[in-house]
Amino acid sequence: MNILEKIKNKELIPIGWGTGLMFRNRKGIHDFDVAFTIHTKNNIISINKISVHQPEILDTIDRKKYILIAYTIDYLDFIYNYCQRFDDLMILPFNDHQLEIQAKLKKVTKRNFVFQNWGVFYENFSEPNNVK
Amino acid sequence: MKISVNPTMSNNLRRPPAISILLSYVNNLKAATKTKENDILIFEPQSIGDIFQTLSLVNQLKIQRNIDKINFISTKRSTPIIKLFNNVNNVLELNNIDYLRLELFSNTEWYKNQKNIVAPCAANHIIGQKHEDFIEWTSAFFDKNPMEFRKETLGLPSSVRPELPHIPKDQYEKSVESAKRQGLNSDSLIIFNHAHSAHPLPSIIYKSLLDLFPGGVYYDAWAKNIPQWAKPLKMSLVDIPTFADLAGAVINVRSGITELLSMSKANIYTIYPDTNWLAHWFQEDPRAVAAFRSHGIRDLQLNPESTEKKIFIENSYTKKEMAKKIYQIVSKQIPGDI
Repeated sequence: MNILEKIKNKELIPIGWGTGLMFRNRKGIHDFDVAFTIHTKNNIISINKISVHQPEILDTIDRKKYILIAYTIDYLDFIYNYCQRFDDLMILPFNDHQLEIQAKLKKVTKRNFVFQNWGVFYENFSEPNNVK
Repeated sequence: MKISVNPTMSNNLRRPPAISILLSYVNNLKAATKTKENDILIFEPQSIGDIFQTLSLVNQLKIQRNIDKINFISTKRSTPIIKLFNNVNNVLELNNIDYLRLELFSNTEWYKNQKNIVAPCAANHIIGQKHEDFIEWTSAFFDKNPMEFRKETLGLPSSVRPELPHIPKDQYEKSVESAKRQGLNSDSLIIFNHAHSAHPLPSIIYKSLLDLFPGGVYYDAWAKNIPQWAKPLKMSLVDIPTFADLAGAVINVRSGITELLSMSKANIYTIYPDTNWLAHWFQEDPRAVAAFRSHGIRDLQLNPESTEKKIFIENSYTKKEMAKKIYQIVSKQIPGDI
């Protein structure tokens, strides 16, 4: 079962990191929605009816049940560094091929236009069966 | 081999972006590919041939420079080639690469001091002063074999030899099945008459080759205006070496397909036209044509045993003269050009 199927079967709960343009347009590339999102400042309580938390929430949840989707390029490095301490938390950038962004990017709509410049990411590209 | 920025991009340029914007762009790309200090990020957005050449050096790059991960930024059409080589870690497949920013940053002092970012193709350009003459070619392009230049850019010694990929068994079987389905015969010829760097030559110049190939003459289906006397052949990039081996002979206008043909044992004939047939970025410069004609499979060390024969087509040739020269070289009446 791939990551997307696990999300759809509710075996993994998607959560986001970011509240910017990419987060606000997330439905243009992902059919699921996140349970909550993370923002480093405490100046936003919710966005698009999604609650916004500070990174410390990751210390309090049962991380193996979650998948963190980074909806920001500017803070990707920060997110990876911050989450290094959590061996049990899966993190994917919004453009990871495992989230099947390829099909969405084919449709040029206003929503997915904001994602076009960041293409599709393949981690461990050479591993068998990793690339469809 | 494309050696210019996207003209639309440069036309839209009002003033070059500040270095801080370039740095932010490149740092974001590093983050987006998970490139750490002991990794290397390679930008290779341009032609299939450039990507093939760089990937042929990646195995040695890992060994010689003791690098953890080799990450790659490229465009979608390169993905099958990257998969074929199977030697990079993370890949960011962009839809559109901002060539302008890439070329600009590759000419900054900052870039020159970076150990874990390389842009082998972009790095062989320098930025000109004039807007309409945005790129000037460095002497490197004229004087140096592009494979040597690439090694230098990647920090590899000249003694390193490029390594060709092996076609996986399942891919080979897929290609054979596709060839069978389309009725590709042995003792036949496949014509690739288009390239990014060169305009198609008149298809009539190949017609006389029908006499030399009892298995028939095929034309790649990507081409426009396939002549009626040739059979169209559909294929993906990774099918090309296998199709060439099955047919036995290929004639191609110099392009990235030539690099792919370095993996084939077929008889390869490569056409290197003069300026009239070359893309605008050659700027009608005879030095560029001479350099282009030294980009053969053996020149690039891709396959010292390649059978490639060069066919130079000069501006002064009539269609009849082109056809005659091609026929004479393919039928071994005269040797290939050197």
